[in-house]
Amino acid sequence: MIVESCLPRRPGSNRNASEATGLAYGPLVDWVGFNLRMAQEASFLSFARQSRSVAGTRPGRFAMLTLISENPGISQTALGRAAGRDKSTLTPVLNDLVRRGWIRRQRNRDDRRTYLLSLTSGGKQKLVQLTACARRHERNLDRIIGRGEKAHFLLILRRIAAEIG
Amino acid sequence: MSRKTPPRWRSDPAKQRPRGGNSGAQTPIDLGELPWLVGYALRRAQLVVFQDFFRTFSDVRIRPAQFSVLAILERNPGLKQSEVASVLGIKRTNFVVLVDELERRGLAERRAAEGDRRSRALYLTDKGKILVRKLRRMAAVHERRMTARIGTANRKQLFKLLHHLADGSH
Repeated sequence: MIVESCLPRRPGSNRNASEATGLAYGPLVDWVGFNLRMAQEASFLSFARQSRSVAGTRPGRFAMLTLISENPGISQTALGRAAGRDKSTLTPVLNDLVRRGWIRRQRNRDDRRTYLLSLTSGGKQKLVQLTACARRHERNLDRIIGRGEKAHFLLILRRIAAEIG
Repeated sequence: MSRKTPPRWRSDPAKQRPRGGNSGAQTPIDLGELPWLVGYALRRAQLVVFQDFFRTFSDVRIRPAQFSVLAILERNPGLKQSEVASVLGIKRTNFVVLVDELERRGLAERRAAEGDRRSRALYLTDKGKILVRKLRRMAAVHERRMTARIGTANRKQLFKLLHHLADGSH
């Protein structure tokens, strides 16, 4: 069911030298960033597996399509801010979505230097599929975290992201 | 800007709505259900921690993945390339580029693995060992800053849940 080699091994259970890999993680086990990254990587792979029947699925694309769908006519700048991406990481994703025919860019009539984004009808259909995948995936994550823990977990993550004080 | 009003999954929007998309005086961006997705919250938190990491380590030009590799090699000298890549979840092609750079900078080196001439084992150089010690001190400062945002009790809880996710998502 899983491809062994592409999955991050278990940092949590590898506190010293683990039975699974025989590896010492050293200071990595105590770093927030490393642990976030490993959990995120595992969750990312699980999302991809969860939705492998839907072509072109990636969490980043799903987030972009959702934001554009919720805010039709959003500017690239506002989208970048909302998604926590700067121009260099936002542009490739948007180019990809345009190429796939899921979003369209239109020049802002009020400000010719900026572009406004909206979903095409193909993009809307895609988003419906991806949303179903995301919910399935999320139920899986909820199960792992435990229902009672989820709110607290989100709260901690948002504090780290400095989205709330 | 025309807007829909999708109140789904939002128990207390006024209080709980993350201000990730708020652009000052302008209308706040509607994040839809994204803020309630664990995957999304994880990604956002990770990006912010990495941004702080980039700032902390910009003088020594070390990225998080490079740091992880150096730290693993310090504790596990002689690991094969494929083992390090797999344990850190780095794609093989990306990993080769990463090690090339560490080697070019004289921080790590490849040697033929004992008993298996075809695979390459990785070691820190003396310069690499000295740098890792310095990096650990810098990381401790970065780490304290991250912990200060959530407190030690939350940090403990966070790690527990992250480990569950890393173990259980597959």
